[in-house]
Amino acid sequence: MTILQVENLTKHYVTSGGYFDGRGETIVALDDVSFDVRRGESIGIVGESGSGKSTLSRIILGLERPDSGRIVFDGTDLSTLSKRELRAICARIQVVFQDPYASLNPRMSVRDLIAEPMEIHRDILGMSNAQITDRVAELLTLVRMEEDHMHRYPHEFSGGQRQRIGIARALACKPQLIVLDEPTSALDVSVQAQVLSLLIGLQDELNLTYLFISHDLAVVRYLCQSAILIRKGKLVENAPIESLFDAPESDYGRMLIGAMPDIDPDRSPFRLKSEA
Amino acid sequence: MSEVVQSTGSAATRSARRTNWARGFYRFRQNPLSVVGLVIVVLLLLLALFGEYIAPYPEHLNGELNVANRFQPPSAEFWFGTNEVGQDIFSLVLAGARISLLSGIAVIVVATLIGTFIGVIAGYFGSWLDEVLMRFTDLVLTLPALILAMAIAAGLGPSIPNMILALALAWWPGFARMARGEVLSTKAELYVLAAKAQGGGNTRILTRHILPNITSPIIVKMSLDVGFAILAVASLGFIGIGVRPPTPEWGVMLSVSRSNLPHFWWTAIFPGMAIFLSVLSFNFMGDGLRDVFDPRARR
Ligand SMILES: Nc1ncnc2c1ncn2[C@@H]1O[C@H](COP(=O)(O)OP(=O)(O)OP(=O)(O)O)[C@@H](O)[C@H]1O
Ligand SMILES: [Mg+2]
Repeated sequence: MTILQVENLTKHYVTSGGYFDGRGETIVALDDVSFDVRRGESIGIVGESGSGKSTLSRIILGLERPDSGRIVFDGTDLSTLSKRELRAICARIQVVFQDPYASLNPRMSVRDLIAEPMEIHRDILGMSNAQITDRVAELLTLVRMEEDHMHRYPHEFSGGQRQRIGIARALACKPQLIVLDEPTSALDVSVQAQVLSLLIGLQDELNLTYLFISHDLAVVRYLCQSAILIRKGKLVENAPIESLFDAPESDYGRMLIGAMPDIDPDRSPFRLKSEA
Repeated sequence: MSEVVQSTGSAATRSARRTNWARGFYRFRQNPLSVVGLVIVVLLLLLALFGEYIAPYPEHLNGELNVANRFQPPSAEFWFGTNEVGQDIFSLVLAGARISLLSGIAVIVVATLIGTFIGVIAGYFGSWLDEVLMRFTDLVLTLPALILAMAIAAGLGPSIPNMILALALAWWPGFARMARGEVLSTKAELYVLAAKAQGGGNTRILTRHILPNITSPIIVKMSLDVGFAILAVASLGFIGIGVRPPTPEWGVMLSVSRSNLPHFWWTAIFPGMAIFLSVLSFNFMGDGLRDVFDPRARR
């Protein structure tokens, strides 16, 4: 069953241009992109830097409006919603950002960080402060951290732990769809593998759908059932993961797969997949 | 269960806070001048609160004259000498700390409130609001602060609250510019985007994410500026627009002593030293705070 439909999405940016000529340049960040995401599935979004991946995630998260095209989430067209209704949808679509250092407010305790989405959506959830604190403790356990970590501040944690805090925050309102914007690319490879296996475990447990943005094809192959390739804002390939790797249809896909480093399966931190 | 979490939690929070304070104090101590500044600031604040009670000649503070003792040079009896009407300058300088310091601090507090409000609104909401508010700020900024304050004070009439207001109205643009700049860089932070993605509104983002992250530079600027505000208060007193004699205020004392120079130098040198010392100590303390909050800016 389809949970998210992206239809003919187009987004342009106009740069402010030089001081003297004043002519702004138009950048096509997304050009007529369409794809569907099935519930409970992980879909990888792959492309090189500047190809429009983050733009796509910002539009899906409702942070920016597309120039044309629409996003249909669980049967509702997001562009038809009022501000209030859009806010309510926010609880069901959450995000984990690439950079675990910049995405957590350094002045907030872990409890307040994870509690924030529940406080924002208090009107829908109707939780008291004590219930929120209990839920924070529960979420910390869920991402394999300790309950009394909630009284500490982000700078007291390693990158991997911070990323778990970010994941706990994303899970707080029991979302259905999580956008992961390169959630592990800022981490060490071994820590990456831990976070990824945590994500896989959570997906099974909570029936989550992942939109996994990355430029690392190896990670996408490990985590996702299908992938789309984006190049300069255009969708160049949309295929199940096996057929993408066995027989890529586009030149771009062939190039990306050709550029992958050979992995020694015994030493790869992603070898869990073959065991599972 | 939540009770258990709460109780162990508050202890953990407290210890985390304590290590932060210890770390901050360690950085502050790295620069001995900052510590000197802090000590003098604390002494000055104590003087501002209790100066009139420890003055050796409290009756002189109420305008009592002792013409027989006029222009006594510094001695064991009159540490800083006496002035043209025989009042003990040491007592006057002690009592003057209250008006000079407290009005200097009041000027900066009012200026910070106005400036931060305008700067945060301009920086956060941007577009035409930013344009209008910042053009206005620039306009005020181009007028020399002291002249502007003189004009406002002259218009409002001489009194201490009017003088504070006049200086604050001339002082806020610096805070507005700085607050705006801090907001512009803070609102581009990923954690602000994260709060928006969760559906957080402007009020929450401003109060929970932006303001807590811009307070450190504002506090540093406040403590640096208090020294200059004390100087400005004294300047207004000196030219006769702020505090009026016989109220003991350092600038006023300096102004009156002009006609006693160079012969009766002690009537000018001690209030002058008091101004100098307070400007300097607030600056040293401000530098120390900067080291604490922003170690990268350290020279
Ligand atoms: N606010 C903006 N204003 C102007 N141009 C923008 C803006 N945001 C993105 N762009 C441009 O749009 C293009 C796509 O950017 P985007 O951030 O979506 O790329 P990305 O695929 O996420 O790259 P990366 O892998 O480096 O994160 C880039 O050329 C970028 O410069
Ligand atoms: Mg990106």
